Order: sequence, then structure tokens, then C-alpha cells
Amino acid sequence: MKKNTQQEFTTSITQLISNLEVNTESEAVGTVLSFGDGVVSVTGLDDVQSGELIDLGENQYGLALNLEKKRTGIVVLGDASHLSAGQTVRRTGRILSVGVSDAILGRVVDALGREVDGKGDLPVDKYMLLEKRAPGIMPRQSVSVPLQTGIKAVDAMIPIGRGQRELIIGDRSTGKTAVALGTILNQADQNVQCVYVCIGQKRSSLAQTIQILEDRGAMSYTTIVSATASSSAAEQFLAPYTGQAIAEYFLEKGKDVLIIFDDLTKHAQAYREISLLLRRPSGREAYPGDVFYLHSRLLERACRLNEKNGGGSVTALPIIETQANDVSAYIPTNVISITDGQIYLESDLFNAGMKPAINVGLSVSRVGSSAQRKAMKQVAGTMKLDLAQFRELQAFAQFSSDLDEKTKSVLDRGEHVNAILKQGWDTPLKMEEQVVVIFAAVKGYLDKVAIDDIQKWEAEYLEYMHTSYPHIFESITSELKIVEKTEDDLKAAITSFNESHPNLVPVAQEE
Amino acid sequence: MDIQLTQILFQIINFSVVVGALSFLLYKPVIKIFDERSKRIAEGEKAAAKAQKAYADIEQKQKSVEAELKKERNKVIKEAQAEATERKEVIIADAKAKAKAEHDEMRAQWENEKAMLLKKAEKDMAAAVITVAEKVIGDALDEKKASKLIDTELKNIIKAL
Amino acid sequence: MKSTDLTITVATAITLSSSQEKAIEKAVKEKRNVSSVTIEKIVDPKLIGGIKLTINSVEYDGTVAGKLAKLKSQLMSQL
Repeated sequence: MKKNTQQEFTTSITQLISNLEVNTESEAVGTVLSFGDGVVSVTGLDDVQSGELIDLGENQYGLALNLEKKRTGIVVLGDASHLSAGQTVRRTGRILSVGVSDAILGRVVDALGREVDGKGDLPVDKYMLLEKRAPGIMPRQSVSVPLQTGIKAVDAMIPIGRGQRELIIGDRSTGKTAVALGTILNQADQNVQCVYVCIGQKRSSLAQTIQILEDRGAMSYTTIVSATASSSAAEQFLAPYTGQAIAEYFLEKGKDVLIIFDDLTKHAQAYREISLLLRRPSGREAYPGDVFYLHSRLLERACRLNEKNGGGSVTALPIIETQANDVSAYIPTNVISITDGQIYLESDLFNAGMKPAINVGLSVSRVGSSAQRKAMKQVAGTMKLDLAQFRELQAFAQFSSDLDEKTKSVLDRGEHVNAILKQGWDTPLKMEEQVVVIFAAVKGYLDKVAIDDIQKWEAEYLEYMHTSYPHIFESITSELKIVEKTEDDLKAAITSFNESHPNLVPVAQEE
Repeated sequence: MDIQLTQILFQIINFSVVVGALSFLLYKPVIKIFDERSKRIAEGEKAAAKAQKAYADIEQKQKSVEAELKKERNKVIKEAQAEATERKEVIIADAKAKAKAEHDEMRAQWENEKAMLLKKAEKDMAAAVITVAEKVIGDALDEKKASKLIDTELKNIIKAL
Repeated sequence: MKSTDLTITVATAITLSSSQEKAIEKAVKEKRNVSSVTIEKIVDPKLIGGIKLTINSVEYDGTVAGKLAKLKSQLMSQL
């Protein structure tokens, strides 16, 4: 067996060598003038194109970004410590692109599309350009299919549709990545491919994330693009475009894709670093003048295409980290104006124990109920109103102890509905499960349950419904709305559950 | 002796009247009372017999119910045991399948690693070949050959100019 | 005809003979339509053999080292 492999080995190499051809051709070359901080200044390189890959030798590449009359500014993608002044660099003639195939699902790649998880080389089916024009107006279709995140607060009141861009914005440690990961975990049976672009995060956090996704079996439909904090600024700058190129590969095949950019704040900072090193003029907060265009051209590529162009969609969930809850800073306002809504996470709510810490009042989804199933619309319609009334009276109630009956009831109902929105980040709920839980909350079946018991109530209630009344779930899934018969069944089911669990639902004492 | 006869007659009549009266006033009711009493006793005995029978019946029923319950209990235990063995088999089958899947995965990983090592070896070999070629060509070129080489290459370059 | 001058760089492993130099001058004058050509000569034994011309940042590589390097990159990309 060993001899065989040896023989195959030598024959294959000899064949390869004999098949090689070397002709004398002309090549455009440049000479290095200066090199420092990841930027190479080069003369020569006639006819170089903007965004072209330049071969720096030793298998290192650079990106030609600054084209001037006498010089070209090249940003090094990687290390290039072998470069010295006077050295020759060559054009490759290729605009920056990444090789994608179906086998990229389940893999971890870097900003140039090269594998970093050690599971073998990536085969290439097609080369997708990193910088591409967003689809025009005619190939697009309006968003009407929901993207289920599995989070009650989001799916009920801030619904996201396939093809929408929804910003997740909040301070550090408020659960932004958790919301994104929970959404990925919920796409297991939704026929949605996921791309998670990690920009400037810690490698340990990314390793943990990959472990979680693997344990839950989510890696089979997820690709991870990794440009962690120790990667060069150029790689961090390119990573979102790489992720978008991978997503567009699946979009062209008519699939639905979910892409998460974690996070765009560090992306803007990496771009600022490159621009300042390239001596481009700086503007507000030292960001270059085109930092808006940096994000708008990325997010505009997330769209939903009409049937004629494949019917696929790319849903983008960019993440922005604010400082001290300041949503009126430069980058947050930029991205808010680009996206179709935001999910606003507050650290006050997080510290008060409300997880996910979503501020329902300030969060909005501009696509709204056209991306919601009728069943969910039926139950969640009044919820936002109830919560708004509750919040209004909440501040009032803290000062006044003598409240009338109506106010007390509104506060009570609001507290219970608020408590039902709490959820573990890694326990996504299916749409039908969310519908039955919210139905119980808004119709008042929870009013007698103690606030601290609501999580337990919900868990046991769902288990009860699955074992004793699975036909309710089936009816909601098939009809996508609550028909009268199902509603009656549901009411009976909740009542019987409440009666059989007096420990959770205390029965009022007889006077 | 005359008076004694009338007296005896009178006594006899008196006696018969008394007897008659007594039998009418006393004898019949007493007999009735005795009759009723014996009737009552007979009824009491009948009722006791019935009660006894009912009691025996109940005992019988209780015994049969107990037997039924025992049968049920045995049946339930048997079912539980059957279910337990079924579950155990399912768990074992599951565990076996998992073990096999893990084994397959490890095997695939190993094959992967082998392929990668092979590739690396090929690459190293190719690099070595080139280095050897450099050395060999460098040594083989003397003044005349080198000059001739320059001429040939120059011709190619001028063509390409 | 305007008098134009073109500076080119010629790199070889051994010193260029004068006949070769003249041939280069003639060819460049013709092909590039210039009146005079200045040749900068570089001798680099690392090139092993052959000749390399650089005109206005366009390089014509006919050296053994250059060919071997191309061979190497082709092999690597195929493996």
C-alpha cells in the first residue's frame, strides 16, 4: 500500500511538471517606495485598477486602494514582513473576489475566503466579487415572508421579514450577540442559510460561539467569516464584504440567507485606521468622509428578489455598539438611517433582570406586520398597546400608593405581559408555541400567577400543550391563523391547565 | 245433700261461665299473642338467614374483586416491565448508533488528515524539485552557454516587445 | 522627429556583450519609436541565466530564475 502511494506520488508530480508551459510575457510591475503600518507605497504599476489584488511575493497580497499619478497606495492583506524598499511587486489583474461553493457551509473562513478551521481546502465553484453593485429597483420584491427569530418580544412586536435589514443596537454586554445567535439557532428547520461575520471580536468569544453552534447542530447551515481583533485592519475592513459575497452566492441560487455583522462599529474603526494611514482627509470623529457609503453599499445588497430573479432573499442583522446608550453618535445614526428598523437593547433593563433587554418602546420594525403570520397578528395586536399603557402608568405608580381599580388592573396586566417576554437566549420558541403563550397572557389567564412563577408556568404549560393538545399546534401551523374552533380548544386547554396546577395558579380563598 | 247438689250445679255453671269467659277473654288473645310471637320469631329467623346469606354474598364479591385487582396489578406490572425493556432497547440502540456515528466521524477526520498530509508532502516535494533545478542549471551554465542563452531569450523578448 | 530618450533597465547573470547591447538598443528604438535609448545594466548572479528587460515599469522576464519561479507557482496552484 505504501509503495503504491509513493508511485502515484512521483508519477503525478512528473506529469504535472511535464505539462507546465513557461512563455516569456510582459508583466506590469511596481517598485516599493516605502512600507509601514500595513500600507505600501509603490511606483510603477501602470494601469492598475482600483480594488485590484497586488502580488507582494511570498504568497502575500495587497489591495490597491489609493491610485495617484505617481504612486499607488496598497493596503497589505496580512503580514508582508518580507517587503523592503526597492522590491518588485506585481499586478494580478484580478479584482478582489472570494471563491465560494456549497461546501462553504459549516466552515470558518478568513476575510479572503481562505479556510482557517483546518478541515481541508475549500473547493471553488464560483468567484464572487467582494465589491458589487446592489440589485436595482426592478429585480426587488417587497418583504412579506417572516424570518422567525424565536424570541417572543421580537416576533410579536418587532417582526422581521426575509429581505429586511434590522439593526441590533445597544451598549456593551446587553445581549446583542445573544439575540443574533438565538436567531441562528432558530433557523434549523426554516430552510435559511446563515452567515456570521465576526469583526474585531476576541478569538476566545468566537471559539465559544463556534462551539455552541456545533453543539446545537447549527453549523451545518452556517458559515463563519472571521476577522478577529488581531487580524490586520484591512482584513477587518473586508470581512463584511466577504460575508456578503458568500450570501450572494446562495441568493443567486434562490435561497434565503441570514447574515449577521458583529459588529459594524469595529468595522468603521478599521476603515478609519486604513483611511488615516492612506492619508485620506478625515471628518467628524476622525472618520473618513465616505464612512456612510462604507455601510450603505454593504447593507443595500441585502434584499429580496422577485421570482424572475430567483426569489431568494438576504436578511441582514447588523450589530452596533453604542457608548453610554448614545444612539445619536455618528456611526449609530448613520446605520439607523440605512436599516429598516432597530432592536434597541438597554443596559438598565438588562440589569433589572429583563432578558432579552429589548426596549419595546424605542424599537421599531419598518416592515412591521406584513412580515407576520395572521395567527401572531391576532394575539400580539393588543400587546404593544398594553405595554405602552403599562409603561405610562409605571412611573406614576411609583409615587402614588393609592390607585383606583382600573389603574391597578392595567399595571397588573402589564407586569404579567412584560414578564412573559423574558426568555433564555438559547431557548427559541416556534411560532405556534409563541402564539399560544401570548394568547394566554393577553387574554388574562396569567393574572393570578405570581410574577416569579411565570417562567415555570410557561415551561410547564408548553409541555402540557405538547403532550395533551398537539392538534392545536398542528392547526396553527397549517392554517397560519387561529380559527374559532382552535380558539375554543385553546381556552379550554388553558383553563384545564390552570385548574390542575394550583401550586402555580393559586385558587382564591373562599371568604 | 240437696243443697250440695245445687251448689255443685251452681259451681259447675259458675265454673263453665268463668271458663267460657276466660277462654274468650284470655285464652284466645294469649294464643294470638303466642302465635304472633312465634310468627315474629320465625320472621326474625328468616331475616337473620337472609342477612347471613347477604353477608356471605358480599364476602364472595369482595374476594372476587380482590382477585380482579390482583389480576389488574399483575397486568400493569407486566406492561410496565415490557415498556421498560422496550425503552432500554431503544436507549441501547440509540447509544449504539451514536457510537457508530462518532466512530464514522473520527474515521472521516483521520482520512481528511491523511489527505492533507499527503498534499503537504506533494507541495514540499515540488518545492524541493525547483530548488534542485536551480542548482543544477546554475552549475551547468558556463560562459559560452550563458551567452547563448541570453541571445535566445533576447530574441523572444524582442518578439514580445 | 522629436528627440525622445528612453531609459531601460537590463538585468543579466553575466556581463552583457557589446553586440547584445547594440541589438537591444536597435530593437527598443524601433518598437518604442524613440530616438535614443539609455541602458542601465545590472548584473545579478542570482538570476542564474537569461535576461530581463524593464521598460517604463513593464517587465519582460526571460531569466532562468524567473521561469523557475513561475513553474513553482503553477505547480503549487495545481496541487
